[in-house]
Amino acid sequence: MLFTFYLFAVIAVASSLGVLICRNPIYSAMSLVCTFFCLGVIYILLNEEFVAVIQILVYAGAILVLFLFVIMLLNITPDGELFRLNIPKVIGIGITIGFLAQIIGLFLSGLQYGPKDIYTVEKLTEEGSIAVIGRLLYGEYVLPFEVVSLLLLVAVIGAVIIGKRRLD
Amino acid sequence: MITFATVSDLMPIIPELILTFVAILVLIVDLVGTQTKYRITAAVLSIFGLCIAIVAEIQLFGENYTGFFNTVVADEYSILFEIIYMITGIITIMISWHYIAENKMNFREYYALILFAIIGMMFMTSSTDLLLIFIGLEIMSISSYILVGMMRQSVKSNEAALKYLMLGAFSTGFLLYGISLLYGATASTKLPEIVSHLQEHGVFNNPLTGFGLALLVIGVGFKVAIVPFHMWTPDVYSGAPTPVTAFMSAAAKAAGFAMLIRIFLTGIPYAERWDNLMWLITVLTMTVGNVMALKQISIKRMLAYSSIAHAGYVMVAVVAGSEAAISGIIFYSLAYALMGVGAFGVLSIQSKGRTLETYDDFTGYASQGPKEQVMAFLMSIFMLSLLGLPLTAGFVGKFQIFYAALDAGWVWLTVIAAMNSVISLFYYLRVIVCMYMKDPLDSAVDGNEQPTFSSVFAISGLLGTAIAVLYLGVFPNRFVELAQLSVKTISF
Amino acid sequence: MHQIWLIPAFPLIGCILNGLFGKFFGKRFVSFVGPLAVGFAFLHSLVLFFTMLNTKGHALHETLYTWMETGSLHLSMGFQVDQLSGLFLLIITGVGFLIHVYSIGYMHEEEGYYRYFSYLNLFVFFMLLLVLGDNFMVLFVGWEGVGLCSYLLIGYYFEKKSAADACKKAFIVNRIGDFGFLSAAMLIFITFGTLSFDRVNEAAPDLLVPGGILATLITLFLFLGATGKSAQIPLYVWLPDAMEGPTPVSALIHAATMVTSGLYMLARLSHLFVLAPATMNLIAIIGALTALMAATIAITQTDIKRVLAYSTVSQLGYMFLAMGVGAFGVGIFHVMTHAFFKALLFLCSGAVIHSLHHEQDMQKMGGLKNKLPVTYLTMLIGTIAIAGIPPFAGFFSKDEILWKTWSASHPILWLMGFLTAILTSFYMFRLIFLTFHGESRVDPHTAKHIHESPVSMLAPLAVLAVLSIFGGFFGVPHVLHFLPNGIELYFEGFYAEVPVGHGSVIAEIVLMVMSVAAALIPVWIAWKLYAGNLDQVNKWKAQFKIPYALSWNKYYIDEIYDAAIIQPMKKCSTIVLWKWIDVGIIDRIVHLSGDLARVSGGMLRGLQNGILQQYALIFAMGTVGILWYLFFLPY
Repeated sequence: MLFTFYLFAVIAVASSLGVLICRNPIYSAMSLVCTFFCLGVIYILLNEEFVAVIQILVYAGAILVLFLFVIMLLNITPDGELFRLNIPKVIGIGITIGFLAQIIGLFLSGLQYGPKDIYTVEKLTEEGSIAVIGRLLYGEYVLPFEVVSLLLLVAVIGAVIIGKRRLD
Repeated sequence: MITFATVSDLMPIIPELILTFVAILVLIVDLVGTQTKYRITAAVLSIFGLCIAIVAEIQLFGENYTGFFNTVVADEYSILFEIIYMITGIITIMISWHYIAENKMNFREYYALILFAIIGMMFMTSSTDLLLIFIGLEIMSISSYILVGMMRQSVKSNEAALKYLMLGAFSTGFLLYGISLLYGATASTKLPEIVSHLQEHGVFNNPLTGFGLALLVIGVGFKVAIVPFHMWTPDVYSGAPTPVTAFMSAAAKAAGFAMLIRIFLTGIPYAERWDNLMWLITVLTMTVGNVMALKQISIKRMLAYSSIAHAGYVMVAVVAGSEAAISGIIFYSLAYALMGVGAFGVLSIQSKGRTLETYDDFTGYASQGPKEQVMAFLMSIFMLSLLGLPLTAGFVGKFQIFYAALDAGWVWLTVIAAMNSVISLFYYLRVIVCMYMKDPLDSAVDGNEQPTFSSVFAISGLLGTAIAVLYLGVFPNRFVELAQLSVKTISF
Repeated sequence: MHQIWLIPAFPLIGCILNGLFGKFFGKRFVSFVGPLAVGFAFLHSLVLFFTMLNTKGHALHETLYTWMETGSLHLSMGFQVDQLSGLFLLIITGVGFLIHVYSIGYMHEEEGYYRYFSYLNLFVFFMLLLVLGDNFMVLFVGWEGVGLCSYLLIGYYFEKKSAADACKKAFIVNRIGDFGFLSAAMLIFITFGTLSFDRVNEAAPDLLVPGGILATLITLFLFLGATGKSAQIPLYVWLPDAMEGPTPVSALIHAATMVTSGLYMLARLSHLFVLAPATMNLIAIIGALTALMAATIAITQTDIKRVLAYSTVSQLGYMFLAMGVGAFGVGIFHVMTHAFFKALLFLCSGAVIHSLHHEQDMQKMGGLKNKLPVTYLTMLIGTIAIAGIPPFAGFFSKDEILWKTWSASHPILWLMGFLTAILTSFYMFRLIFLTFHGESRVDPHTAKHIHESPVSMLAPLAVLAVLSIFGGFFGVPHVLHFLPNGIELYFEGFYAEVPVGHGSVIAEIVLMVMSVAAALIPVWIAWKLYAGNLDQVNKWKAQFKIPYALSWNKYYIDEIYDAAIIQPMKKCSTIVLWKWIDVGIIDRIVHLSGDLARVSGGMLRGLQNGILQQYALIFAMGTVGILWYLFFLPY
């Protein structure tokens, strides 16, 4: 179990670095797909099959296909330049590493796990994660669930405005 | 067994429901109406909806409904803040119509987006669950991104929207990470449970909680533009359509602070380290805002920096953290909503076909015609209130905050804040001096123009705002009492 | 109820009516509303004044409404009429009314006539708030309000650059004073937990150690505030420049009312001040110094309004001297008589300037007494009053100040005051003789049009002249006791008691004779020098080059301030704030990545694109910094 987790975690990190470093947008997009798959595997390791399936369906299936379409429609050719280091990037990388070091340092300095939520692994396997998620979404979290629809509506409006051709 | 929400759970979110209904109605009207007719219909409909929602809020006042398993509460605190957003919304819509017409910004979704942004803010304020707070924040943010970029023919507006979107997404990452760390440590996203957990275990004993809270501050700090997360403000505020700037600087910031108070000032244990950090951030925010505002040529940019400085004044109260300070923040939010929107509103009204932006544009403004005279007078009131002259809302707000800080023992912080507000005199009064004490430049256009109906509509909105600014300055006590009453309801 | 609030309400209504409708209803409407508003306020003040007198020293209190209540702080729009504010009320509304009437004639040809009256009414409103308030809050509202109106009116002729500069100068100098005032208010609130004057005065002896640091600090800050508003060393520099405003404004704001608000505050908090002997001594010294210095400047100035301005500074110095030696009542008495004769003098000078088509240089006047007989007569009365020639008003108040100084055993301060008295008499008669006597030096083109001013201007002059003659009889010194000393009775028990040594009766009479002589002899000298031709003066000018240059250039104080404070501050802000911090540190950080990127020819070609990434960079730096501070900084 643990070995599988580390394996896919390392692949996830490596492929997300690949998204940044690849000059060819198609490669970047494919690296992203890889990252999402790895995340899906990690969800399965956590006994969350439903989330894993949704992760792969929505991100890898829908969103990335859209990305690829856009890339192909725009006909972006790789500009051939390899990833190059320059000073701002060095500073940026330095800060990122600093941030990472802070997180690791903190977690090593005496991390305490909090109380467990009531939805333990046993409960999930007993009832099935879909049932639990469904109950939560329509029970306790029905309001956030409904309000997300407003968020989506706003996002759609934004997309329409950006997509509008005529500036009347 | 699970329990489902019932109809009675809807009680605390009635205003939100009303606004959602109106916003969707506005979108539908868009489909049926013709263009010119539509504009006024949508604007009037939106204002009408906001008014009804305000009435609904007033009806809810004092009832303290909770709903959806304590996810939302309609306490006095959130109701007051929500009324502030809606008042800001009404004034914004009043000034927007003119601006939209003059700048050919004919996206019909404009008013609906303003309403959606307000709904987002309302959820941010009235929710006690970090999940819903986050969703509210995102509704507000995405609406603002779109509103900022609405002037599509303007490169500046597009650029501002893109910057805001990118940096906003960046900050959202921190916010979300913070929330997930808090969840990991406390197994809950509900504020009361988080707070009780923290009271039991302390903030800094577990790295997860301290880290999570720090990231939350950073995420919210971006929204309210405190140093060092303020870099986007001047660019975005000056690139955005002016009414949108007005709306963001007043309502979005108020919502950010409402959220900050809800999370941090409701029983999270005291830690000296926080205080020192907040102290430093506060001083930096005030000083950077004021010093940078001094150097600006464009009044719109100056106001953007000054809004950073005002966020700094509010932070003074956040540092003080007492009940008096929180009620001071509520009052200040209202005061700034009025005077900030007013000042940006004056900038949004065209004079003889020109958009006014720099000090040069305002040189001799008061002597250019009757409309300009009225506008110059209104601008003076807003400037005087922003600098905190007695008998204006700005003075009462600053007074309360400084008093609360003094009372809580933050003498030096108060002194620095007072010195900062002295600096601010120079750039605010410069506007008045430009308008009244100089002759117009040669480039100024002569001749009279017939005021359009839309500009009269906008000016009447600003007139109401100015009257409100003065009213709050002369008779503040009623609202101060309300604010104090409402603070009593937020402690868990 | 006494409806105290009506007093400030009248001018406020006047201001609103004039401001909103003045333009449409025309000058007739404005000249009706403006003075009438103040007139009503005056009538109501009279009623309340006598009501207050009948209550035998009990102040009339009235709380209009609770302004704000937060925590332990209770602030209300509270008004009080007691001996002090009652007297100020009469001065402000009475003299204010006369000056409003005068303005009808004086400002008649100005553009923006309605604007002028609107400002002037607003000024009276704030000034009334200042003196009526029963707590610091209301006082502060008035304090800031009169400042604002003062800037507006100094900059009234904004097309003149000098006026705009004067406005700026007044603004900046007053900020320093306001800083003192606010700091004091803050300290008082921390110490006393209240902002009400009555309670502060009551509690002061219990809560403050006499001569202690806290008492001294609070009073020093208050005094700093007072020096700003009341134009004392070191903050007096704005007042002479403020003469760029219209002359009635100079009379009302910069002579009779606003500049005395610092003194009002001192008198209001007398119980606090007596606890800080060090501050009291400083006040006395600064007052005497200011009086003497301003008087030495006034003797060489040739601009008629500037002479009067320095004379105002000098007379204000007298008042501070009185306060400093603990003679609060006498100081206020001088405020009153000074309001009469200085307003009169300013209005007369205004009448002269008006007749000569805005000529203010006395070297281009002379021999006007036949052409402007009424103005001449009234101005002469004012001059006699200010010079301290009995039995005119100035004599009684000034002599009393000098006597109190002497009896408080401050002989050096007395000497300074005495010298000032000599100089005062000299420069005032110099002004009269240069303006009205001798040969006419008026430019012939203007000379043809010289005419006496309209009745609306002359009537206020006459009233003020009468007041300048008889105003002094309220405070006849004890030794003369042909009348009771009204002022002393009036203020009995109002001020904090200061242990004053009692000089002998002989000494008082000797000093009195000396001050009469000090007033009369310079008249003769001035007559010899200035009434005829000016040869002797010019000869002396050449002989005493250095003293003359010092006085003429106002001791180069403006230049010194500029070189010692303003330029270094500018440099400091340029070098430290801008070059060093801003360019050096912030910009360097901000541009570091961008510049280097451009140098390295990387992908950051577009500046905007670069900036966005820099913003994110700074954001991330901030985050890492905050986290480092919170979790990794060793405690």
